Amino acid sequence: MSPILAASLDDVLEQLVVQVWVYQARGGDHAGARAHAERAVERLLSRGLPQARAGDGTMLLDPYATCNALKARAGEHADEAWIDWLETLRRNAVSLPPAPHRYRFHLNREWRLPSPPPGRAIVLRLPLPLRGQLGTPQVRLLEPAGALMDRRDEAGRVELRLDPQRVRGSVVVEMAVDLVAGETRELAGPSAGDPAAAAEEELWLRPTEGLIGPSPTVAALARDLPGGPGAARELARAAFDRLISLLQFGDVHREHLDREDPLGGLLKSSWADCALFSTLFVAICRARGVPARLVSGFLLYQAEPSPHHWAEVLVEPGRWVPYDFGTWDYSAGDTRDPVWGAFFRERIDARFTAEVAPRHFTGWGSARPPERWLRLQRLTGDRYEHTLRVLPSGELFQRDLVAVETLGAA
Amino acid sequence: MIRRLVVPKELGEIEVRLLQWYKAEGDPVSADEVLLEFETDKAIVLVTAKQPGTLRRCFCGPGEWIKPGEVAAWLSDQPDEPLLADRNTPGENLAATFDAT
Repeated sequence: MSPILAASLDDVLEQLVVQVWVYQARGGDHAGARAHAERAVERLLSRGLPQARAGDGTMLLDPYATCNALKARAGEHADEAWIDWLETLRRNAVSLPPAPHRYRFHLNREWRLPSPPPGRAIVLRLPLPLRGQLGTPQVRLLEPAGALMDRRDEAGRVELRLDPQRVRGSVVVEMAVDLVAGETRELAGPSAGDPAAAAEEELWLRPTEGLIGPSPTVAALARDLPGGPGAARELARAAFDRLISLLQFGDVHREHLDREDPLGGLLKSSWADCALFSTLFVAICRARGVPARLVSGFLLYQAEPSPHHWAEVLVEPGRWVPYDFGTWDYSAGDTRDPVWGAFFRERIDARFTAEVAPRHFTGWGSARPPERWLRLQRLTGDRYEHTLRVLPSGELFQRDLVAVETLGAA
Repeated sequence: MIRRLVVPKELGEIEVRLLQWYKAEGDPVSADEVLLEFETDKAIVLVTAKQPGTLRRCFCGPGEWIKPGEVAAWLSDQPDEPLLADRNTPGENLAATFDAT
């Protein structure tokens, strides 16, 4: 895959700081964390990491390729930064109490919008917790003042309708919402015999949904696995372990996906991020007749409250069980690791669940994503910043500033 | 004549979710008036009538899911014309635009 050299050296260094040395940076030594990142990039450049120069001389890198180049499967030679990264990942993974706690989730979201069609309200959405929401979220339009025409709260999202005459480019909204979340080992669904169970199975057995579609490669992989509708947990475990052994967890540019067979193509490219790993896993389960669904939201780690995807499998009527491929990171791809090899297999920690595909989604509203985009992260003050940028221009499309407070036991 | 408002199959293979009606049953509808709004996971789609008529029957309400190819509503040229036998009765389709925001 050709690299997409679209992020400045500063962007990449700050991304490494927040991913690898976030505790050092949050502990007051941002300069030290940045120095680690600089040395890591120097090592990667000396090993041939592709780079380019912008017109003003700024070094340009592919942030996805940079981060992926630091990762190593257990037993392979690892860059020293990967050792630090593993420590950070594992520290995050044990940072939340298993018992249900109350959390306050702060989100400041900025959208850069093109001019809307005349006469049409601008519709913007923010995610709300589908599970465990407490009370009414506080939502405040910061920019542009006075543009809010209507607000609609519903399960999993809040929708704002803005006066298009008052919006000129940038919209900024601040939100705070409380939720209860804790470790999850299973979730209830309709029980056997309930008419809703059949409808639920149909919805989550569909052979086509998003990137899921006909794929001989996925079908062949699914056929090889033990288990099936009568032994769904066996199938899910086998699929989970098999995918972790076949693929590496890392960033993937969406434009690098195989257009004809995006999920099957992952098995050739050998890289998948949380969304792609989970989607492929869901496709495998469905190919064997086991209902499965893609779930997304935010991790509640105070150091790094990042957006994330995972999967849920209906192991028997009324019992959904979670599977999170972040486990690849904690175990460095080694499912035999006695502590980390199945860390979030059939168990996840406290999460802000915002979307359960295909029917519960936040939706982009008027802020439709560009055809090509790039995701970047950094620390901004005490907040975790997550941006989507338009390619090839690099212009900002959406910026999230996220913080999480733990309020106490529920 | 009764005209059927059909969700176009070009919008995708999975259902779309109705967000809101801008007209109620019995309301007159002019050409170029917005009838309803629905969404996919990618976009919000505004449906605008391109023919005048009267909105006679809405087959789904806000929050409900409709499959592409299904009939969302009936409109008639005259406000009191007899309706079709059922939702799946073949008939003329209303000319409408489906604009994604």
